[in-house]
Amino acid sequence: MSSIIPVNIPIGGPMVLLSESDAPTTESAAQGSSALESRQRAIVIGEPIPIVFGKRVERTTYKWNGDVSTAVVYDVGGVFVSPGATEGRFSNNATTNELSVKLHLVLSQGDMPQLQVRDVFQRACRVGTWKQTYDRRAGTWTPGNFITAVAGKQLWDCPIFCGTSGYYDDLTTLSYENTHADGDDTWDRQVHCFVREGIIVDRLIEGTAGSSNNVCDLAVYLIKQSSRFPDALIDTATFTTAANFTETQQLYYNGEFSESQNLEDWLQDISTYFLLRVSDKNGKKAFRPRLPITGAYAIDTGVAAWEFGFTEDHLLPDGFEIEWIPFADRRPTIMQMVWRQQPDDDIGLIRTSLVNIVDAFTDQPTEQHDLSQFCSSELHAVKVGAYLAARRAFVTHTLRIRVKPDAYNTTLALGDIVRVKLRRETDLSSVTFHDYLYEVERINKTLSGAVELDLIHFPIDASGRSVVALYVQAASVKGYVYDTGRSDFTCDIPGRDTDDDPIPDEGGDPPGLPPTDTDETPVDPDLPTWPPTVPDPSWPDNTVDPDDPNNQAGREGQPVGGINNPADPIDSATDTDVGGGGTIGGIPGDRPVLPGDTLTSPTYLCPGYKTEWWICPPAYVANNVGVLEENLTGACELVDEGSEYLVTAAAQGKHIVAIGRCPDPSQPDGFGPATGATATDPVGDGGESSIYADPPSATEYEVLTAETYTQYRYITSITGPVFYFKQGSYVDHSNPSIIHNRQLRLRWTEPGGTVVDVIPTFFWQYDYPEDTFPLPFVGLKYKSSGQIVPPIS
Amino acid sequence: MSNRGQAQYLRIYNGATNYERFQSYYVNEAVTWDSATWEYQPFVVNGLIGGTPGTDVGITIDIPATETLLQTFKDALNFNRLCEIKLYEFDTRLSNAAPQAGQLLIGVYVGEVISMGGSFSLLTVRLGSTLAPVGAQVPPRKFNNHLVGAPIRL
Repeated sequence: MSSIIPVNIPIGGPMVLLSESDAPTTESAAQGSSALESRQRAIVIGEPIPIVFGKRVERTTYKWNGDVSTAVVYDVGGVFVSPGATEGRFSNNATTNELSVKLHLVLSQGDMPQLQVRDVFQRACRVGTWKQTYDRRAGTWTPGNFITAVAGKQLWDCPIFCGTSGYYDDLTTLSYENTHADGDDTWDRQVHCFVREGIIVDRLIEGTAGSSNNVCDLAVYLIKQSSRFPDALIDTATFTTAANFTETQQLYYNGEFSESQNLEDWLQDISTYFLLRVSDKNGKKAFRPRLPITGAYAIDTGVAAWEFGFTEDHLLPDGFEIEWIPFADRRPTIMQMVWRQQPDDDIGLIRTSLVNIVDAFTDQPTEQHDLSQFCSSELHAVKVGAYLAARRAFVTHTLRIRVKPDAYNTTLALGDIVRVKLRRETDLSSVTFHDYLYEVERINKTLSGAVELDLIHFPIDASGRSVVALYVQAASVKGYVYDTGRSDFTCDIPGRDTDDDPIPDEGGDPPGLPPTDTDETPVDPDLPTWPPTVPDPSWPDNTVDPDDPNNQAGREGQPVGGINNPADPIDSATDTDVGGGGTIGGIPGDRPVLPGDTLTSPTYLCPGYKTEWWICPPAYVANNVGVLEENLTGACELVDEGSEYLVTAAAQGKHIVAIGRCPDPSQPDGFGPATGATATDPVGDGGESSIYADPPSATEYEVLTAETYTQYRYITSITGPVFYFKQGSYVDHSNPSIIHNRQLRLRWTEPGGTVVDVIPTFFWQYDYPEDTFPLPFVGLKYKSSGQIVPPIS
Repeated sequence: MSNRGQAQYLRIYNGATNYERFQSYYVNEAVTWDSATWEYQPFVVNGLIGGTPGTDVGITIDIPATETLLQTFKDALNFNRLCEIKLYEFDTRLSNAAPQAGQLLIGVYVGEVISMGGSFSLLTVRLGSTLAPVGAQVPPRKFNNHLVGAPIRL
C-alpha cells in the first residue's frame, strides 16, 4: 500500500525587498556641475519647468583637525541656475555696430524673493541690466531681430526667430540686457543666477510660507503639486518630525529640480540622502528618520530601548523567516560623496568627500553617491556617507515573524525598535538565544488577528547603543575650502561682487497676446460631463441593500434596447423544437374521426422531422394538457409513424395524438425529443353504454351516432332527460350526397317543465356485411361549440 | 479559548462628507459607534499593512457586488474619495452584541480606491495611494504656448 505524503512548499514573501543595499546602479559626472561658457540655452516647448528650491543659511559645525574639533560658522546653501531663454531682442548701433542683446528667461516655477545684483552672471561675469518679476513677463521690451548692416563692420549673426510672448503664469521670470562692442563674440553666452532664496513654499517647521531648504517642505510641495494625492493622505505630523530632524542635522536641499521623473522614485531616492525613509503609515505618506532620535530631534546615541520583546510565546508556527545579507554586500566600502562647495560670492564647484568605517582609503571598493545637485555642505555629505558605510557593514540580516496579537497591537508602529529573543535548544548542556534588536519596517495586521512583522537588524554595540547612529553622530568635516581656481576677475562690473541690492521687479504682459484660452480645446457642452453629476446613493436606515435601480439615475448611460445577436450557424444548439403543434389534417368537419379515416401529419418547422401517431385514452389526454408529449409512454400507445395514419378500430374511443421529432444526430434513433403534440377528438365508437351528465339548461346537443341504412338505433334515456328519435336523416352509404329524411330528435325537460327538443345530426358509417364494425353510438356534441361531450364513463 | 475580538469599520469620505459607514462584525445589525451609525456589510479586509513603498503596502477589501455597493465604490473610484479602515480590538466576554465603549483601536488605514475588480458577484477593492510607480510626475508643469508663446530659437 502506498501513501501520498503531502509536501508543503512555502512561498517566500518579498523579503528581498528589504535588501539594505543603497548602491547606485550607475555612476557618472557630478550632476550639479554647470557649464559656464556654453551658448545660451533656449526653452523648448514641452520641457519641464524647473523648480529652484533652497535657502542659504548660516550654521555652525565642528571642524576636525587631528584630535581637535573646533567650531566653525559657515554659510550653506543656494542654487546656481542656468535659466533658459524664451524671448530675445537683438539690435545694433548704426555707426559703431555695438550690439544690444536682451533676453527673457524663466528662472523657476513659483514665486521667490528678488535675486541680488551680485548673484546674476553672464558667463562668469556680473554684467548686464536685470529685472525680475513673478507671474508675468519681466522687462518691457519687445522681442525681435533689428540688426542692420554697418559699412565696414561684420554683420551680427543673431537669431531670426526671436520668440513671441506668453502669460508666464506662476513663473518667476528674468529680463537680461547687455551691450557688446563690435566683434565681441561673447554675446550669445549663457546667463546664470545664484539663487540664495528659492521658491516660496509652505514650511512645516515654521508653519508659514517662505523660502526653504528643508527636503520635507519640497516633498510636500511636490506631492501637492502633482495633483494626484489628496492632502488627507499626507502625514503632516510625521513629515514635521522628519523636517525637524533634517534641520537639526543640517541636511539641506539646495538645488534645481528640473529632471522629469516619477515622484515615488524621487521620494525614495532623495530620502536616503537625508537620512530619511519614505513611510506609508496608516495609509498616509511621510518621511521618517532612519536613525533613532531624541525629543530634540538629535540622533539618539544612548542605549537603544525597544518597544516590545517577542519570544517563542508569541511566535506562530512557521512564523520565523530570516535572510542573511551576504558578505559581498557588507564589506567595508569607501563612500565617495560628491557635493557642491558653494562660496558666498562666487560660482560653486564640485567637491568629493571619502567616508569609510575603517581607516583605510586605498585598496577598498569604492562607491560614489552624487549629492551635488542639492547638497552644498560637507557635513551633509559625510553624515550620509557615514550612514551608508556603517549600515552597509553592520546590518547583517532581515527577519520576518508571524506572531499572535498581544499588548503591542495598540502601540507598535513603523520605525519602532523591537527585540526578538528566541530560545534555541540543540544541546542538552547549553541553551542559546536568537537575540537581536530590529527596526520595524512593515506591519501587516491580518483578519485572523495574526500580525506579520518585517524587521531589519538594528545593530548595537556592547553598551546597547546603535552602531549606525554612533557612526553618523561621529561624522565631522575637514572644513577645507577649495579655491575656485578663478584667476580673472576683470569681467565683473566694478562693485557688483558685493552689491546685495535686489534687482528691480519690473514687467508686464505685453499687448497682443493671444486669448488666454487659445491652447484650450473647448469641450462640446452637449457631451457628457466628467465626472458625471450623480446623486449619492441613499443608504436606507435598515441593513438591507435595496438594489434599487432608480438610485442610479444620472450615472453613466446604458445601451438602449435588447440584445439581438445573429445566430451562429455552427455552434448553435441543435434545433429540437418542431415549432408548435400545427394541425392534423384529414379530420372531418362534421363528425368525429372514425376508423377508416386517413389523417395527415401537421407541418413542423425543422427539416427532416418525423411524425409519430399515438392513441391515448380521453381521460389521460384531459389530464396532460400542455405536457402531453412528455407523458406519451405508459397509457398511450405508439401505433404508427409517418406523414399519414389510417385510423383503425384500435383507436375507437381514444384520442389520436400526433407528435413531431426533429433530427438529432446525438440520439440513438437519430431524432430529438417529442414536441408539438396535437390530439384529435376521441374516435367514434359504440356509445350505448356511455353515460352522460345531465345537460344544463338551454344547452343543445347533437346526437352523434352511426347508423346503417337499414335501421334506426334509438338512444334510451340515461338519467333524467328523455331522449327519443322523432325523425332523422342519414346518408346513403352508396351515395354520400343523398340525405335521407330520417330525423332524430333529442328531447329533455328543463327544470320548470319546459320541454326542449333538439334536432340532432346523424352520422353513420358504411357497413359492409363482412365488416366487424359494430353499429356505434358516436356520442353527443355541443351544438354551440361543436365540442364532443365527454362521457362520464 | 481566545477572548480577543476584532471588528472592522469602513468609512468612505472625502474630508468634508461621510458617504458611507459599514461594519462587518455585528451581522445584520446597524450599530452605533463614534457618534455615528454603522451599517452591516459583509466586507473582508485582508489586513492592515504599513511599511515603506515597495514592501507591498496597501490593502484590499472584498465586498459583495450588489448594485448599491458597486455604485458606492465606483463613485469612490471616480470621485477620488477616501476609504478609512479601522480595526478595533475588544474582550468578547464583556459584550458581543454591540461595540464596547472601551474597545481599542489597533489599526487604521486611509487610502484611495486605486483599483477595483473581481467577479460578477464579488468585488475586490484595492486601497492605496495614487502615486503611480511609473510615469513622470515631477516637475509637475511643462512649458507650453500659453506660458511662453513660441520661444526663441537659438
